[in-house]
Amino acid sequence: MTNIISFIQELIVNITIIAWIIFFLTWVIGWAIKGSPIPFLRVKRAGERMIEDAVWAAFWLAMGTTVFALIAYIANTFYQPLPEPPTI
Amino acid sequence: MDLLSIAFYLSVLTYYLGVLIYMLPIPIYGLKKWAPQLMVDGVFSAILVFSYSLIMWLIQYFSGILGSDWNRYNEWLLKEINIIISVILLFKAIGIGLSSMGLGFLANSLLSPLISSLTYLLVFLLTVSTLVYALYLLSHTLVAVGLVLHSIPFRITRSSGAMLISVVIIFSIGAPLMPSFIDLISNNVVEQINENKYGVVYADIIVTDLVNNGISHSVVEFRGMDQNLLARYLADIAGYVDSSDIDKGIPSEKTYISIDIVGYKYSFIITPEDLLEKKDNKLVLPIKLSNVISIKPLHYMIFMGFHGNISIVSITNSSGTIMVSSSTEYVLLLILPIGDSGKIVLDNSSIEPDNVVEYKWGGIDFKAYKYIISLGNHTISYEVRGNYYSKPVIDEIYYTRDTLGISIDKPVYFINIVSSLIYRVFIGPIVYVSILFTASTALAKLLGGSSSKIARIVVTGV
Repeated sequence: MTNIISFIQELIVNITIIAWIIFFLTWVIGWAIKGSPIPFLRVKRAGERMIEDAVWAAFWLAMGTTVFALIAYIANTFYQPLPEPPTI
Repeated sequence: MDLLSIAFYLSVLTYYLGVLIYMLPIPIYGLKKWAPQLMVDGVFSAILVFSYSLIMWLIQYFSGILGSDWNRYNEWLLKEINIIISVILLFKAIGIGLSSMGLGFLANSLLSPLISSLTYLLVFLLTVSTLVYALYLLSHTLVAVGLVLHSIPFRITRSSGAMLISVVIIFSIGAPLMPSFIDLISNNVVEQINENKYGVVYADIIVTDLVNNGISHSVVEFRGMDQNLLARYLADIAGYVDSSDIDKGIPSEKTYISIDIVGYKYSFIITPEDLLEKKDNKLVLPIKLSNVISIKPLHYMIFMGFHGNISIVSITNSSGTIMVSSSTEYVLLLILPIGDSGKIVLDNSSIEPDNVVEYKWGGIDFKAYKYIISLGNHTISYEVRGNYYSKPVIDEIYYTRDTLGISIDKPVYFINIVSSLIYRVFIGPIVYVSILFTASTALAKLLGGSSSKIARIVVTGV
């Protein structure tokens, strides 16, 4: 059932693409709320939070592959590469 | 299907889902708190997946340190199974003996529940061992499945996966130590039951001579394979041993048997089970000694070292004539109580004994006259004078009462055997398995949060 693996991989790619789109969306909405002439500070703070979250998320999104590559590297140096994993 | 790849990609998926939720423009805190949790989950699951070999190595390492040895466990298992089965067979034989004596109700009420408890015990023991051994054999696959469950996003099966992994780890390390634990808790607390190797059967014995007369007052001894005395019975005047009483009985498996005829012993190995016959609704073990002629009680003629055949010309209870042909030289023994006398006529000429031995046996004085007879054909006539008779005094050892230590008047003995077996084979393993299970719950908490409700119910509620 290698379809499961390719299914999950496809899912990951789709999610990454969606994530980039949403990042831009949130960033724009955040700035829009921040810059809007609504006189409530709470609204402005909501907008600031949205911008910050979006930027942090974008950072972690970009770092995603690095994070996992780092884990694999550490695992390989400390121990042999993954042995024959069991197959069903 | 590559379980570890699936687990790895699932953890990557979890991470990216976390990132996605983090950047959603919905400011509800309830949704946002999932985000960092998912990201950390994803990274942790990925780390675990990469530590698959480390987990396997840890199992080996700790097994080595603690001295877990599956061979020892298998030995213990086989030994306990043999003990239980031999106790079941012992009870069954006693039950059959009781039924043949008309005490069947005793067998049904006392022994049947004990036998069924023992059978359940056997089933339980084998089930637990199969389970534990399956966990060990399937450890690689089960850990991989646990990793997959652990990596599924949103913590849906995270606790089950963690539980599965830790159960495999703890049981692979701890299960072979069960014999040591059981020895620890049962040392000096319950008696050690030894395997009953010789079985029991309630049968009479009849010892007959060449002409199918009983050899009166022969002493039948049963010894185990290492010459330990199991039973000794004195035959009556007709050569009959009444050993089918519930206190007596004879071993049923292969043993050494020796027939002692006023001091002269014949030993051989028999398996009583195979030789039993049914006579008048009683089981009888027939033993025929063809080189003995029982002239009358306490007066015997024995041919030692004889290879050939004997044919009877005439025989009464004080004299007789026989024709003997042997391919080797042999010794003819005439054994009489002191005070009686006898003579042998060989080929029509009276002969004197080559040796005369006086001895005491069973509280009676005997005289043994030894005649050395050459090989070939001979006609031997014998005559015995005197009718001395006195019942010999021999210490009997009853098999069931003395060797096995079982008496039907003391049913507590039976129950004691069964309860000490239950303690060692049922309570012991259950306690140990719950110890292991509690440990694996704690380890699962470390690995990814146990499903505490279920664990709590299993460990404390059930």
